[in-house]
Amino acid sequence: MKKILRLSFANIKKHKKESILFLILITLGVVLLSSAVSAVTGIKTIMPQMVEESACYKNFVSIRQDHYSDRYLEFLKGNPDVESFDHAGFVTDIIKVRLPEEGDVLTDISFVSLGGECRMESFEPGPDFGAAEHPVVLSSVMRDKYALSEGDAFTIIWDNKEFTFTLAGFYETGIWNYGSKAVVSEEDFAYLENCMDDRYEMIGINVTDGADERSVLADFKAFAEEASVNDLSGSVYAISYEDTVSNNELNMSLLSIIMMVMSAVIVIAIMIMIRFRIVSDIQEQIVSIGVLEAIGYTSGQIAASYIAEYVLIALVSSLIGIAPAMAMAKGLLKNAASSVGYGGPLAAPVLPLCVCVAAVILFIGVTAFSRACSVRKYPPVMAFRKGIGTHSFKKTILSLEKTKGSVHVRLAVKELFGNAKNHVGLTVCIMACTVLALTGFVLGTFFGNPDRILGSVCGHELCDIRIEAVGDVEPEAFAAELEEMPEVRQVLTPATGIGVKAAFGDAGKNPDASYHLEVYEDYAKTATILLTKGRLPEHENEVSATVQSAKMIGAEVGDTITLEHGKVKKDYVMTGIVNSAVNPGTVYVTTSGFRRMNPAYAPSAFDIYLNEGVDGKAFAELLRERYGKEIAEYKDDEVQGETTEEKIRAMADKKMAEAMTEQGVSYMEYAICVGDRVISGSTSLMKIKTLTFEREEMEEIADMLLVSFAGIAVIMMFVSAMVVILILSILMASTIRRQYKELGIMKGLGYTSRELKFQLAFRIVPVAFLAVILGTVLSLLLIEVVNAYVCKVAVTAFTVMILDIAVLFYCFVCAYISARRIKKISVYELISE
Amino acid sequence: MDTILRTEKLCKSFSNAGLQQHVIKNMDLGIGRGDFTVIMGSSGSGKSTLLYALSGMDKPTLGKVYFGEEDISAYDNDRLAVFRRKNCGFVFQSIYLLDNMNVIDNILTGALVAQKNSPELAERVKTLLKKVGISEDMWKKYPNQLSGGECQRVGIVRAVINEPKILFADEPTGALNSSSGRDVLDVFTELHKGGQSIVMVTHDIKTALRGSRVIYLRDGGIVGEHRMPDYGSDDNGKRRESLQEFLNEMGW
Repeated sequence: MKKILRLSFANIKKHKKESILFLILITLGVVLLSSAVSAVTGIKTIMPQMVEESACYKNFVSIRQDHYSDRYLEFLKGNPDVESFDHAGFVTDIIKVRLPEEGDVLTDISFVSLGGECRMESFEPGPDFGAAEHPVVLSSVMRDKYALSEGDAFTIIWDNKEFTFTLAGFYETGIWNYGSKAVVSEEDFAYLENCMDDRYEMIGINVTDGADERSVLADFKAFAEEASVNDLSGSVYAISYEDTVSNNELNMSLLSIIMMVMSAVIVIAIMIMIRFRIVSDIQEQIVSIGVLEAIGYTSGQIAASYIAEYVLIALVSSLIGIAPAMAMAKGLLKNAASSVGYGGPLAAPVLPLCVCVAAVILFIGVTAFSRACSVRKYPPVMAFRKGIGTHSFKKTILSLEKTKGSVHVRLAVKELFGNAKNHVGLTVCIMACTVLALTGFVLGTFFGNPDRILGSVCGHELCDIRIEAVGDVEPEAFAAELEEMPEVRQVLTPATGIGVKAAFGDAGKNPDASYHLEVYEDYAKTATILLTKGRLPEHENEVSATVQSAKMIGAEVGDTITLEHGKVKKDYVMTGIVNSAVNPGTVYVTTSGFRRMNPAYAPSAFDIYLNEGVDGKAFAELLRERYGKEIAEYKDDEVQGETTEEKIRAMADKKMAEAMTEQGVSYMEYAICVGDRVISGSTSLMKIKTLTFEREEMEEIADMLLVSFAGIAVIMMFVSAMVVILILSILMASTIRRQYKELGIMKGLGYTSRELKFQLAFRIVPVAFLAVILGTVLSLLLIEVVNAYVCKVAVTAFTVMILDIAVLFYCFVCAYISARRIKKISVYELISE
Repeated sequence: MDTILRTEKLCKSFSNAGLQQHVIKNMDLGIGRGDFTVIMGSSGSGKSTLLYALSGMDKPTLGKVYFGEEDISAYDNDRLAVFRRKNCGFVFQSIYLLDNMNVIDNILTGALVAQKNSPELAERVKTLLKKVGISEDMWKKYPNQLSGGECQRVGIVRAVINEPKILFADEPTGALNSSSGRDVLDVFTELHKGGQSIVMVTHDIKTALRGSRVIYLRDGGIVGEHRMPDYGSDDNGKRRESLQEFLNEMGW
């Protein structure tokens, strides 16, 4: 063993630079692979840990509060499959929070009362909760995300209103509305319930052992729909624990999976480089091998020395890499946990990490063994004669007699084709790196542009301003009125918050699933709804669906599906498939199509598209002047006025607004006698229920997405660049060592170092070219998958071409720089050897 | 005589385990155009070191090497390579053909770095190969399929294919048997007759006899010089005797 190790150490010492490059490559592979595997294993424990620590319910049904009734709970009482259940109200919205350093930031937040949270999980308010003015306890993830601390003021801003809480503490939430929850006092919750629109009742359910949670939820939903006088299809959302876990695990593991793919590329590169280098070593050291065999070393010992060399490098790499791998695994776990709102203690599993490291070492040993065994082919005498392999009796490839143009290019290509087999590995490596770089770049730049994200992942038309009008507004007339304004390019009238069920006969799937319904008068006027197949609906019996919805329904373009809304069922022909990452469970029909199920339907939302250069805020002021403030503003504003009449009018507006928002009143008039004077008015100037800057809000959400996408893209490109430079450095170092004599002779003949560097670097150009082409094809296929399942990513041929040229140029430059060792070859040293 | 190459106070030393070993010491030497200069000396006298310093294969430690009026000792490595391809040809003791190329490609590797491919070049390769006795059936063979003598003759063709102004040879027959060695030397004689300037290092008296001037080195300096009429132009017996006498004087 000592003998073998001595030989291995001698080899490592002799080829210090290459050994260091291998060390870096293997360390990179070990860190990425083992941390990703450890993180993926650890991710599986996050949700169970959340449930255990918070003692929260596992299965949930949320129902819009205006459609909720305690009658639904009858189903759960005494049900043998239900172990326990409870319910609590919550309000949710995307609102702005004021942060000390970052200013106003848009965030998705859900408010729940102290009592409600205590019913849903084991929530313990801190001692300061009662003492603080307007106390709020946030999830610890929000603390970390916004760098908040106890005692800070926490101001929320929505609909031109502000409310300031005092941060009374932070806690680890359970799995219901994770990450975005804020626990407030009963009084504050009542206030928020009063002024926020999205109010829900959450029902938590635990089932008994052995009971099927999905069927309990489905039965509960069916019971509620039966018991309700309303159509619940768009108002009830049920999710089982199993589904919560599987949905989140995939999202949480995404980054780790990408890292695994990257490490797979590195592992392939390691395998190819080890095989290439051992072959080069044996060719270069064949005389030394003969001498060693002659003095008594067996070929097995020599082969073992090669294996030991790489295993030693792998062991050192693992020792170096294990600490960063642990840290990275922890980071990945923390990142995954924070995405589901968990900020509690997490330990990266050590066993999978160690198994992974051991597997890498074993893999390297096996790879080295597979090539090192070829030493056995050379008995001492044959080794002295430099092996039969160096006797070249093959057909001359690309004879120099036919050289036209540069001899350097000819020599480079001649050498390449003469050793084509050796370059297969390099092709695979560069191809894999091209896939990473190209996919990373395309996705990174695509998602780096908020406009493109909004245009392709939303699946519905994005307007500048959306007005939700009050009930008595005549939609066609109001839309026409808005459209006549010079600032407006067009007005569309979509439907909002409508749910449907969809079924596709016996061949269909998920007949009980609910889908969000998008309704437009004329899809020809929509611009950002992107089709992957077919066309958008034009007639009343046509429907389109998102990729995900079509898969859920189990139908394809041309199939006839049945939509159900408010217990009315109608058949529609599927005309197209739409991309939508943000609203995946959506189906699309025309206004007349929807009226087949709901003849009374009248659109109440008006999407306003402004002309180029029009300021949205200024235009909103104009709308307020013309159609009044938002109803909620009338309701929440303090009664003010200089004269009695003004005060009376303000009071009357407030009362009317309350009646409209709370009792669903659509029109009111009033007449008040003050002495002999009559003060009268109506809701005719209160047409705007809500006004939102849809595009602006979505842009802020898109901004959040960019950071993570850009980060992943940068990592992918960085890793591929690293791998390319490492493999080309190893390749060039080995090639120069192997061809030391030839290169020295050529220097003697008058070839300059620069010309020889060019020749060596140019050898990889055809290989890189082929690899880049193959890599591009694979990347485009990969992007096609993203197109089909996530969102439409636009890739232009020009971008791909520029990127391919950049990759090719990068490979050439890396190879050229790596070949700089040629300079050190001295003709004199070669001759005087 | 017109001097093609000359040195001024040429010094070459090597550092070995921290010790400076002075191999060439303040040497002034001129190589005449059309001369066949033979450099002789005992082992370690600096013959090969001088040859490679003269040819621009290696840079002197001190002093200058002039090719015509050009000071090539000031050139960097790449400029020296360009100088070599334009002006010099080399024949090595170990031949140094490229194993992975056939005869023609080996020659063209040397040729195409200095000139463009042309039918005239192809013709010249074939003429020279025939001239050195390499028959057409060997042209597509690889070095491993040829004898040592044949390889060295291919090496000579590669060295002269660019019509170098000066040809350097480092013990060109050192690795050959006597018959092959004689054939190779005949090629050198033919080239010299054609006006080729040659500088050759050897320790073999038969090889040295082909030259017109013999320089003897000892401890990095020139200790003697012997001129002879061109090979074949005089009685070879007398040439041998006079050279033997010179070498004996030098203590060879």
